[in-house]
Amino acid sequence: MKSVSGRKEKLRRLLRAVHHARQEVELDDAWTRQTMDQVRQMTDSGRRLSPTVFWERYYWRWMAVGGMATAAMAMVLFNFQFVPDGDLWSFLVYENETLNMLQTFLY
Amino acid sequence: MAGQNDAGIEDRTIVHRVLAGDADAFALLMERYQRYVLAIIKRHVPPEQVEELAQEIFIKAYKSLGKWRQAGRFQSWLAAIAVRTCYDYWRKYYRSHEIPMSALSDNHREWLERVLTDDAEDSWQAISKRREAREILDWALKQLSAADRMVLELVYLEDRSVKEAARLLGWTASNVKVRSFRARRKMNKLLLQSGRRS
Repeated sequence: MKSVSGRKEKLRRLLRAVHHARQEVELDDAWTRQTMDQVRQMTDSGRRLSPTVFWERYYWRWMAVGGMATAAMAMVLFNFQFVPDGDLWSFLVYENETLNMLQTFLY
Repeated sequence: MAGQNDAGIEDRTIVHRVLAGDADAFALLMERYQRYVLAIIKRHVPPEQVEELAQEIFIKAYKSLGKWRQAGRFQSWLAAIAVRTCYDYWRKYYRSHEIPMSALSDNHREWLERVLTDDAEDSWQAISKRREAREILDWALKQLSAADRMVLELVYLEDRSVKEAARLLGWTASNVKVRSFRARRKMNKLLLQSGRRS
């Protein structure tokens, strides 16, 4: 009976040999042509900048900007609750009032 | 030398040409590294998937060619793309396929036990080409998660260093170390215990 470490080592050698003896695969010219066609197609569509590419590229930037805009809007709407008869104009004009409210809100 | 072809054009030069709009120059890179990429992926994915994945790898490389830090070797950069694409393949595979919890068949168990206890140690080349050997390895790998599978193949079966495996997979070295230890233990448990049951 072989020792545990001996069996482990033998198993490792066996599995490594099997792993390295995996079937060879050859790629033919048709594969190269097909891949190059895709590359050229991408180059052409890249020049036109499709909407998908545009959204994919700027997705996280748009998400961040959208998130910040939502937070700002929520803050403004939330603050209106503390201004009796307040409207957007007076809210924007009375800067000090706005700052005071922000401070009250934050601290 | 990997960085140059017969005409002596460096990878860097070809990449510059492609980035400048000469998409056809990319064929030179494909021709140069096709065999290298195949050698990597044939060990990680089933043979019928190799062609499709090789295409995906070169398309990914083309799309992110501008991100290649030209201080490093193009070959190493491409290897990382290849390994990560194989890892993605297995992640998708495990998500979309239900892997049944099956035990190793009695025939396989007996065959493995015979090989492991045989002191004569026949040629490993001959044993490794046996259908049983391939089926046992494939069965054991299927019992692991995609991450464990990749790390086990890279570190345990291909003898790559932890640092290299970490670079190829884009993980931290400690993550690779921990995962490879666990995966190896699980693999030994699966095969050595199932082998002893007979």
